[in-house]
Amino acid sequence: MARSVIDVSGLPTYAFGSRVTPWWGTFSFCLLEGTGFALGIGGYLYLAVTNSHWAKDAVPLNLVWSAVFTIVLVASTIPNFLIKRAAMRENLRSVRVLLLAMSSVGLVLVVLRIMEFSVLPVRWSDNAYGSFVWLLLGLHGVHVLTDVADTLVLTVLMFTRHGTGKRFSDAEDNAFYWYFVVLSWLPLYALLYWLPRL
Amino acid sequence: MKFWSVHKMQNFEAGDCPGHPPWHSGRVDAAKQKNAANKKEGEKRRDVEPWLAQDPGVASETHRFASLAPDEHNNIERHHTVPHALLHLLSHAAERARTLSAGPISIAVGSAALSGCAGVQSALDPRGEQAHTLAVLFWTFTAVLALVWFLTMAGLIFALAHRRNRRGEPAQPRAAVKRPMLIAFCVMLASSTIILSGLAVLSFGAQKAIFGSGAGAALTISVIGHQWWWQVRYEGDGGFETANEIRIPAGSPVDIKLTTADVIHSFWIPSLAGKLDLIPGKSNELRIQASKPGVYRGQCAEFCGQQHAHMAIFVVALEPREFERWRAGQAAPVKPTAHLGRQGVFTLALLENAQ
Amino acid sequence: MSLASEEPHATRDSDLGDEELRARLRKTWGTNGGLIGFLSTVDHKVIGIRYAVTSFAFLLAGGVLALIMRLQLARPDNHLVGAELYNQLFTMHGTTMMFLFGVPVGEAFAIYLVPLMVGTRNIAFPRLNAFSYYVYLFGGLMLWGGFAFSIRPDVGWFSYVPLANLDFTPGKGPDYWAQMITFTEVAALAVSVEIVVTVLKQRAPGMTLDRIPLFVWTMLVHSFIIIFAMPAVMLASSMLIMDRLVTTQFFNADAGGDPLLWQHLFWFFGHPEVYIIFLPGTAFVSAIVATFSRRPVFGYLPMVLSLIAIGFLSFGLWVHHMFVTGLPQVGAAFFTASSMAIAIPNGVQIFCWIATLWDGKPVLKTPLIFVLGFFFIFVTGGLSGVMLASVPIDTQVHDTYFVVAHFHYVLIGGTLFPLVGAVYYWFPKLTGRLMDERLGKWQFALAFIGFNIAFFPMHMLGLLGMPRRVYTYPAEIGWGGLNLLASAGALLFFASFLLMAYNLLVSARKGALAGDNPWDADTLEWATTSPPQPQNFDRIPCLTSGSPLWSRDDDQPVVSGLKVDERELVVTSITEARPDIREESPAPSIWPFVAALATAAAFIGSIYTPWAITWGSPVVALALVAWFWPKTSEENA
Repeated sequence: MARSVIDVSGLPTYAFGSRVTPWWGTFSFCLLEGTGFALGIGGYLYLAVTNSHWAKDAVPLNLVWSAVFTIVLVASTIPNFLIKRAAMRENLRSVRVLLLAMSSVGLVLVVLRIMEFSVLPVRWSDNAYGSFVWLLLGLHGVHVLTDVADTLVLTVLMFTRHGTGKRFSDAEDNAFYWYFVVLSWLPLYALLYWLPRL
Repeated sequence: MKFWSVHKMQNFEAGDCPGHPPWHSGRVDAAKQKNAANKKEGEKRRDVEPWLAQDPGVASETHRFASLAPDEHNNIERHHTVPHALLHLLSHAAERARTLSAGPISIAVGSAALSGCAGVQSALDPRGEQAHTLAVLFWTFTAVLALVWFLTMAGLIFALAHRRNRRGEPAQPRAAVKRPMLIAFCVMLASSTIILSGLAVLSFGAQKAIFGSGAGAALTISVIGHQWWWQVRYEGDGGFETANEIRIPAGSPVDIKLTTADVIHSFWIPSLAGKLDLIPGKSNELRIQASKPGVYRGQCAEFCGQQHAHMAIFVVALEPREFERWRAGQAAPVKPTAHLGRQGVFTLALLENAQ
Repeated sequence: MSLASEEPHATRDSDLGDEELRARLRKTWGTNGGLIGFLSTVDHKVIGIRYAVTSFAFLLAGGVLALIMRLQLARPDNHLVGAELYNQLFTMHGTTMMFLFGVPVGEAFAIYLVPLMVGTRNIAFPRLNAFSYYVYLFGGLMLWGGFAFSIRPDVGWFSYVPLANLDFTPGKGPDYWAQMITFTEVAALAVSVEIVVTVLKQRAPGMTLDRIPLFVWTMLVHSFIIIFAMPAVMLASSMLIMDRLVTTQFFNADAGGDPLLWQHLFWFFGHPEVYIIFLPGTAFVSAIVATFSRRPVFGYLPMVLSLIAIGFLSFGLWVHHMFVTGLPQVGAAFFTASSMAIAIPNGVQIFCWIATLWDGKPVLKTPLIFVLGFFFIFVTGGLSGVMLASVPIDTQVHDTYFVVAHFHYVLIGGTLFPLVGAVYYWFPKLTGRLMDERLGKWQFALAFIGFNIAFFPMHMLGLLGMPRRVYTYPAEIGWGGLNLLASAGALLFFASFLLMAYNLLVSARKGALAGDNPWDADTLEWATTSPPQPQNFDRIPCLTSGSPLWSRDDDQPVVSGLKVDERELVVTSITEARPDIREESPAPSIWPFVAALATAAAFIGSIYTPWAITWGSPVVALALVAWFWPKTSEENA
């Protein structure tokens, strides 16, 4: 016969941070996508070291748009932090306002990335250096784009009747992933924009 | 054991072959001419040779070419591309071959091929210093690891056989015996660490012996991989080229410089040395040495496309004096025979065999 | 926070008697009928079985290809298939066995068994699980559909560049191959994330880290290996297809690229891949050895540490696939050492299993017999692997039939034999019926003898100089006899699987009824009905020891207080598995199927025009939004 030893009826139905499963899902995806970035960086460095054509091909990239992009991206961690805090306090008003802000920042970043592509001095088909620049910028661009799309959907949800309870946990999770988008950019930025200038 | 009988069967003794079979010189000239033609026409060469194989009358002769050249004798669909004029020339060559096959020399060659003069191709039958070191290392590993295997299996059988006769007793949530097993565990861990370290040290030693040889060899030969044949270039004054055959002096080390003209290939003469890849944008160097004169077969060991299976190469080790004579002969200007075209090469080769 | 006090009307399991509770939970967790219901299911058991059936179908297809190849090689100068077809056959054989069988079949068992073994009601992210199955299915169908319509990759399962470049292989074959890789890797990565989260967060209360079954530990390590290894091959195959379709230059040596970059990326995935395929085999062995020895596996801690060590070391071996590319010797020597080092944790595992058999009273049923076959074959393959780790020996045997023999000993011995054992072992759980023991023993005899006759001679063929991937060989080189022998063995081996198929079909209808726990096993999947209810467990068990069923506790402690009319499951803390949250598990949805369909269309379209990605992405995005859009009924807090 079964004997009840634990009563879970008093437990919450959602929580924040690493207590919930979506956080671990996001964390796992950060791990595997991070591995992808690391391998991409590894491939770039491998060719830079082994192929004698590389030094000649590696023309330095324009610093203007990427600098703006990097500054906006790093600055976005402030509203991102605030969203996280507001979500955990379940403050609907703040979350709504901040999500609107983050959506706008995200769209600005997408536009900046497009500007960046338009001024690249090398095409993907010119040489392996060009291929890698496009690949890494593109790969990170896809991450920016998907998280911006996610943020937009979440913003809409927060303005509907769904903006309660577990949605706060989702907003917090979304903010967590944005940190990954920001952090993964920094090594890429150093590699793509500063290494060829050394 | 089956293994050994089979191994014996094809354990070709180089000495069984005539010291330098009469067809060698013809073959090399042919290869050289062929090579010139190959450079221009590449693909088409492969379209031609299947016709030779089709005529049963030339089986013994064409077989030799088949095993020498990176061709295919069964891919018959490709024939359509061969122009009629070539057909004519080919059947002419076949005619010549038929008359030749009646001759004593070609019979000798044919039987030599059957008895194994296709050349040795076995890592277990080393004919050079490197291959010898490798074979010794291989057998050492095999002996040690076989011992490990037997011990493991003995442990397994003992574990099963020693069944304390208490079947039907309910399962237990913990082990019955702990201490002796803990000791066995420590012994196992220590011994496997020692065995593996020992093998690793042996491996490093052999690696150093094989790849560490500092001084350059007297002779360097360039081998350039193509889909699906080997271009062989003897550098230096009076340099010349052959295809699918490398002649080297027996007893002295030769450096082979490996590059590729298209995809990745792998150069491997198992009786002389381990393999090394030919990689675009990279030049690799492999040292080979044949202890005695003889024919050593090898073939491409990295999948390189449709006819990978037929990308064979022969190393022919000659007495040093013999080698020098051959080399001098090769370096001399070649009679202009290019107008004969590729088919002419075969005819020429067959004719030279007859002489 | 939403606490229970705010929702007083919900029915909870503590309110109901056993019969009614089961009926109510069945309704809550069940899958609807009809085509939409069929495609919408998120039940991990249904999806696990679909994964298993699909991967076995691919096993059969890959096996038929192998048989044709063996027939071609049975005689020298054989004309059964030409060079072109042969190259397609071995490419498809390798690709199918590695990507469409080897990886998915391990996942199939993980998806089905891990939630049961940790005592939860569904896998984490069940919709992602459904999505992953459809993506895998579409990837496999795409590759084989292309094969049927003569779009056939023929550059090997490793697709080395530059042979796989447009210059040398102009057809669409390699493009289909590369996209299939992306499909199956997306699926594998998704499943890994689910397994990791299920194991870390959904274990039954009381299943502390040191009470996790070894099977589950193995699948956890397996999933982490996938998470770190698969991105490499996805990156590589995407680079390859971009080189082919939009003229990037990643692997072009003349434009700053390097063909060896492909090899590094491919083998950085490719060697862990071996362990990705092999670890599920060890998971089966651990489960079967424990059950039939009537003991828990000896040395729980060394076993878990070995698994973790294997996980780490598997990433330090990839260069031993590249020993003959002319790498610097010192670097190569390092990889000799690391490749040999991985033999130690594997040896520890072998020792612990044998010690368990020694300590216990082994019951020789078919599952255990297949595991004994595993010991014989896998140890052989493992030891020939030690030879391959040595750079000098590798220069002789690399890319020869010696290697073919080695990895078939490791993969068939290490995975397929335990897998067949696992099918016999868990079949009663899936169907409620036992498989025929007598046929099982016959199958083992055929498989074991056939396998060794087929693959042992290949060691010798390799040493006698026979390279891999040759469609024929000349008669006078003397490989004919051993090849004929190998082909005969292959026929026997294949026949053993036909016997298994027969046994499966007959036993599913007429097998002896099994009951809940026919083997008197110890893990939680045997604590529920055979086949399990959609909710897995009527009442979530609580563990008080690592041997929940052997501790003979008739008074099984359970959790109470979960809602009955909603899909609630218990989320616990990572190390101590203390109940923490009642999380809602997603309900069935058609959107994962739609999203997979759109993804497949975009990927296949991209082979013909890069714009397919541009047009496909918004569709995929819309499907995803629909997938994640909350239902009103969930908004009750």
